[in-house]
Amino acid sequence: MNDPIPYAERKPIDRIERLAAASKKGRNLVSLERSLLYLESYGETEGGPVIIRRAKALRHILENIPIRIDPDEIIIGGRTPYPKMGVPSLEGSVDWLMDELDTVSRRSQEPFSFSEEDKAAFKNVLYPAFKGTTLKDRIAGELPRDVSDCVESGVFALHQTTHSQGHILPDTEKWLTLGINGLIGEVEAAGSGSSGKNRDFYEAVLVTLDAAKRFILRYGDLAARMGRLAVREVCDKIASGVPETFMEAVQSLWFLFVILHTESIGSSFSPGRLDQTLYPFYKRERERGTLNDETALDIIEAFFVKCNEIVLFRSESAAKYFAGFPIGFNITLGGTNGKGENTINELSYLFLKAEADLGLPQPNLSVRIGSKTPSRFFDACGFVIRRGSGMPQVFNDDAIVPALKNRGVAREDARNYALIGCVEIGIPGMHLGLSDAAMLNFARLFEVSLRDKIHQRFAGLERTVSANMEYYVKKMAEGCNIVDRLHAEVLPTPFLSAVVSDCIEKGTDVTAGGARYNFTGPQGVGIANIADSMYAVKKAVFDDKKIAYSALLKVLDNNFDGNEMLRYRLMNRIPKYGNNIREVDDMANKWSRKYNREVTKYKNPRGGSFSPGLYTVSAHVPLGMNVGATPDGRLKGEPLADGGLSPMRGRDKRGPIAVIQSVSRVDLKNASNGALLNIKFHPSVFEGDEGLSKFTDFLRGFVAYGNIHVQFNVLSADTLKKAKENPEEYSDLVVRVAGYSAFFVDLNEALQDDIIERTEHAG
Amino acid sequence: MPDKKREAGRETAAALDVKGIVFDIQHYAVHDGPGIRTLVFLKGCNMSCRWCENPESIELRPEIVYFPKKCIGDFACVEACPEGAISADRANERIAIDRKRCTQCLRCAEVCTPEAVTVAGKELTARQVVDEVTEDRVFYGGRGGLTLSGGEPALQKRFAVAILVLAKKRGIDTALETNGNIEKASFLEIVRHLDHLLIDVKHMDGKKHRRYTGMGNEAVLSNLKEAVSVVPDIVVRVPVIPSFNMNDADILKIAEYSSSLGINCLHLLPYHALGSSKCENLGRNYPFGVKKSLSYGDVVPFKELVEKKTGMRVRIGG
Repeated sequence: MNDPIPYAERKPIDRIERLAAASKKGRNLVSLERSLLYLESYGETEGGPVIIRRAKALRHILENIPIRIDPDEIIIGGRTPYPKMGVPSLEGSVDWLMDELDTVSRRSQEPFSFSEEDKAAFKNVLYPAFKGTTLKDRIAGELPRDVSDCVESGVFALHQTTHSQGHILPDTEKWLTLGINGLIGEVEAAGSGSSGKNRDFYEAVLVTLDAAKRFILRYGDLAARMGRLAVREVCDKIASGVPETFMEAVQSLWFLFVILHTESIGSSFSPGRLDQTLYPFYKRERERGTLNDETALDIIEAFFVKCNEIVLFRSESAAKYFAGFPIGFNITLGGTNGKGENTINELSYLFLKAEADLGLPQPNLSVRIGSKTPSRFFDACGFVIRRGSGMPQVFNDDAIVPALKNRGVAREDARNYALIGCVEIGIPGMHLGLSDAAMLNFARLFEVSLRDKIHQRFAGLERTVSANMEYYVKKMAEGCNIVDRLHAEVLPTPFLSAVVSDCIEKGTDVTAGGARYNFTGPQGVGIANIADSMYAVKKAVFDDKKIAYSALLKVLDNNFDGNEMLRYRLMNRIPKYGNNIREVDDMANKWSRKYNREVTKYKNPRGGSFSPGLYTVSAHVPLGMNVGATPDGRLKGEPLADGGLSPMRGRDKRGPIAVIQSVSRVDLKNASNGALLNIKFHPSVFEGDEGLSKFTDFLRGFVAYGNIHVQFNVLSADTLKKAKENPEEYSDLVVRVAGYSAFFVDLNEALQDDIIERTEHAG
Repeated sequence: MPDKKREAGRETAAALDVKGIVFDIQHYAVHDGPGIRTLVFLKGCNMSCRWCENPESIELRPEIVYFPKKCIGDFACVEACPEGAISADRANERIAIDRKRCTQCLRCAEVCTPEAVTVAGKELTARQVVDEVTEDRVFYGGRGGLTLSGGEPALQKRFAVAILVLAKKRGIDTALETNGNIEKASFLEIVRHLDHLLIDVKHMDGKKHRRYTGMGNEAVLSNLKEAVSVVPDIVVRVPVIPSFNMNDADILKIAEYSSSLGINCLHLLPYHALGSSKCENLGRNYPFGVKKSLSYGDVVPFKELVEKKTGMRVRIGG
């Protein structure tokens, strides 16, 4: 077989490697420059309309924020002068940083150093100025008691309460084809003769576009002072005209994302389908003979490195929910055009090659596949996945397009979907999905229901769960809608609105409903736990009468203390979700369906509907902390099932095919905000050309079963070491040892060590 | 013609309820035939290779396996055992099983919910097996299918044939992993239902073969010859075992014999000490002196040698 990706053996050029290494190290310093400039501008604009004040603050920042160009850089520009600096969103929230002033540099997850001088500036200047005005404060002031009670009880959490809007796919195509001047022309034309709020909106957008232009020119001047005249030319061209070369297009895109991040300090501004958007630039230059694939690859890799330089500065608790600084530069490759025709091209493969080379945490690389995807693309994905970075993650067009149509998205738009942030589904350039709106903890909801009273029949318990689902989803929707409305009131984003259709046409900010598609996407977390627990109660208490309802409650209260044998009975002798066993999978179906049905009942203030998702990122850990022992055998405080759709770890004993089959019984056709499944593979699964083609067969099966998403965790020696220490958590790990695959935890120590050693070498 | 059809129908109907002992079904096996395979391990073996990786497959009947690491020291098994064959080592939270007194009533495994004591081997009908296999069908991608393995699957001949007939009836690709040491008529009865045969040839020297496996190689070699005209795709598999056949001459002889029959695909399986771990759980001694597994690299020189001398396609690992 030929290598499925181009230049399989080629290494990145030196300067890219240096930058990649530097980005891995990073600085992780707190940077207050933006906040101080924001405050300075706000001092001058007091009394004006919020949206214009926000625009002017952005302008002031872009004009004055320190900038720097690293001599190694091909693609330049940053939100902060050095990579990975922590920029707080003080207009979003000030309390957490005040509370964590002294611990932020010491915390275990994502520490940031904070100089004494900056701490003093924060405490004496910034905190008193922002306190009371922030999004968070405003939400706290407006959230009704019953909603905040639900949050406190741990049944759901409301997100997007501490920074401005992100989680969006800006219209990169429009940005590249119109250029800034083109956008300005469009806004001027649409805004002429407008009045009132609309006029303020147009004025604000124009302020930000003009500021964007000048920001890029500042970089051009700096480049010229450094003697890099070619870079200056590129900057001038992007600022005043439209990009023509591949290089100019990529540079222009990067500036777009830097500015979006400067405006919002949010997360998940996702570039989307770059193999499509950039293709005309690539193709034109290839035809003219002014670009070769190796240079294109250098440029793509430089862009990839850049995606790691903007990090999200989160509170300690939020860092636990979203561990590992994810900021959601999600790039989507593959898929089809609006007519459903395959659009995989040379750039799709070059992007995969860049991922294979760098394996950095960002961008979050996603591929779209479907039943018509050519085998070479599958092979190329497998080739990259087996290198072990967990990417690309895989999305199924055959499942996602119908799910979007169920939400009223036009077919042509649905076929153009791309991924946002982690696994959220959106329509590029015209969609604000509030896709990380909230998380509903299914296990906690189950626990509350179980303890409602001593149910005499299983149907009674089911009715209570149903009623609770209705109640909590309703309260969650109320909460989301308050947050949503306050975003528009407190933190409008005029620059972002310039690159989201139909904001300009409507004269409305994206936070106020300017986008064509307006959804709100809350996630249900722990479908495996509620399915397994409900089934365990049904079997153990009602069908087999192994334990009385009240006795079970007591055992759970005591966290199975003294009842270990019962715990193992519940765990091992009652079927679990993830093993292709219909009776228990049907529970996952039933409760996901109920959740989706409840969520989709609600409308948001932007005129759109709610769109349910089933994924957790890393929230299964903190959410598990709020839940006592459950009848699936899970101990108090233990994490919930990971991913969103994954079975509870260690409970799936029949391998990945059965997992795909069980997952297919979840109500995926309505999980239009996205879903997440993790599967662990030992590297031996991918060995050789044959291993790759068998992996392709697996992915084709995944497509045929109508699953939405899967990502592969290729087992590292480290994971195996952990499995050796904590066998119970890893009882599903299968390793290939000889002519036989075995459960890793069943092997003796010497053999485990042997396999760890081999895996180390294979990696 | 209608008679034949009816006869085939009867064959299938009769096959459904044939029972046998299965010790494992592995889904998503990628090393045991083309495409993704569902691997069905039948219990019972007529060889006793010293390096055996699956010692739990040797006995035909179900037997008790004990995983000390999973034992929580509850000792429900001690009480459950009617023969008093299990004793508690309370200090170490372990049990000791007196295998001689065990009558395989399996009550200990029934009460052990942590599954430290479990049963290797389960009685299933051919229909149950093939139903479970059929569940994986979507993943076969037009290439994968069922692989029967063991143990020596041919020892449960009626069961093996029943499974293969049912699988073929459902359009599932079939493969067999065998040690080849079966009486000719039975062998032929089984292999006519196969798309692929993976047959072990461990050594060309009959005496040495007997010394290390308990059986001679005459049947293996003659069955291999017979199979060539019956099965469309044959792979010869050679476990590469230190101190047994891990030398140029022995490996090459096997390759040359296979090649002379027109077989062009050879798999070299590096020795793995998995059996040592499993013997512990079965309360047996591991009868093979070599405790260190071979790596892929250890076997590469043999691959190169065979490829150079015979032109066969050689793969390392099954």
